[in-house]
Amino acid sequence: MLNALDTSGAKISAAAAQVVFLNGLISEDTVASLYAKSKLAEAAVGQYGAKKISEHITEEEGGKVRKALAELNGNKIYLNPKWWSGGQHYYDDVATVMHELIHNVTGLTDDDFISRGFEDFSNVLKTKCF
Amino acid sequence: MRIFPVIIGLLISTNVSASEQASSGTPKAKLNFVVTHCWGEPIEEAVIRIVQQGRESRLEYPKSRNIEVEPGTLQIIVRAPGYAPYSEVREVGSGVRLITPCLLLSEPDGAGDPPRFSVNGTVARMLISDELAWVRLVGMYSDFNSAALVDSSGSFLFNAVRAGRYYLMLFSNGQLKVAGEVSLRNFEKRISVQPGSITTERD
Repeated sequence: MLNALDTSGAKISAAAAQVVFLNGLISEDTVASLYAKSKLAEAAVGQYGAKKISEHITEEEGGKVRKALAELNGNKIYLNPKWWSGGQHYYDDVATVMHELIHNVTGLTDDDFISRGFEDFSNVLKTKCF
Repeated sequence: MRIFPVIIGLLISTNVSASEQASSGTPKAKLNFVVTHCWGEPIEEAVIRIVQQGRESRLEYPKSRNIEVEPGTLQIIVRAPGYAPYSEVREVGSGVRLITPCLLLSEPDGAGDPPRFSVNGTVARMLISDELAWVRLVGMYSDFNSAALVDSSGSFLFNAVRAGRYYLMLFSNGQLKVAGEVSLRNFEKRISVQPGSITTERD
């Protein structure tokens, strides 16, 4: 699976050692900054303007919530604490962390994962890895 | 975190090359494509699929930018790395036509077609009178082109708008009164038309 995403377990492990978790609810960083280390950086500035992570992460679209946001090709992961409960959802949380690390390492988005054959990527990770 | 993926390829079909599509004797529609981000950034690579009557053609954009198809209804599906999938159904007649799909970035943590939204606007009192007034909104990088009446209170509404760069024109009594560029986003979709300026505001 990681080969299909042009990455490896070693790269994910290395990323895990560098990751910085941030509280998305209070972040002053912009949504566009998630793309700043990718070739999509200029497009992101147009599309998101000055919108902040703290505004974006609390929005719900189509009944879906935002649990985390990852920086593409970077080491930041912004969390929405409301959706991190542990307990019976422990493995969902672990799979989400792995999911975000893969964004960090590969620079790929969820739509890119789908293009490469991985629908509902967090669930795939949960099933295959944990 | 995930957002619903949208299934865009509803028709499963046989791949047919552009030359095969053009081989019959009826007048054809020649489609030229220019694909950009909705704020104008060029798209480095994309796959354009054209589905018509159960047959599918593929263009590897930008190496291939045009194709000949039968006039009629077709579905255009565009996918590009880093961008949300794009899909539209349109009617084409014979002759040459430029099609300009504009793509929006895919969220790192979110999949599927970005939501469309309604755009509300107000026109300053001094710009409206008893004469009929209307506004026209035109996509700068998309094929969006729609008009809406301005009511007696100076309000207007556009529905099902995608994020992107647009040009807005206010007409009154057939005369162009004010025009200008606006960036519309799902969190910044209120338009204010003042003498000499058009701005957007957050909700």
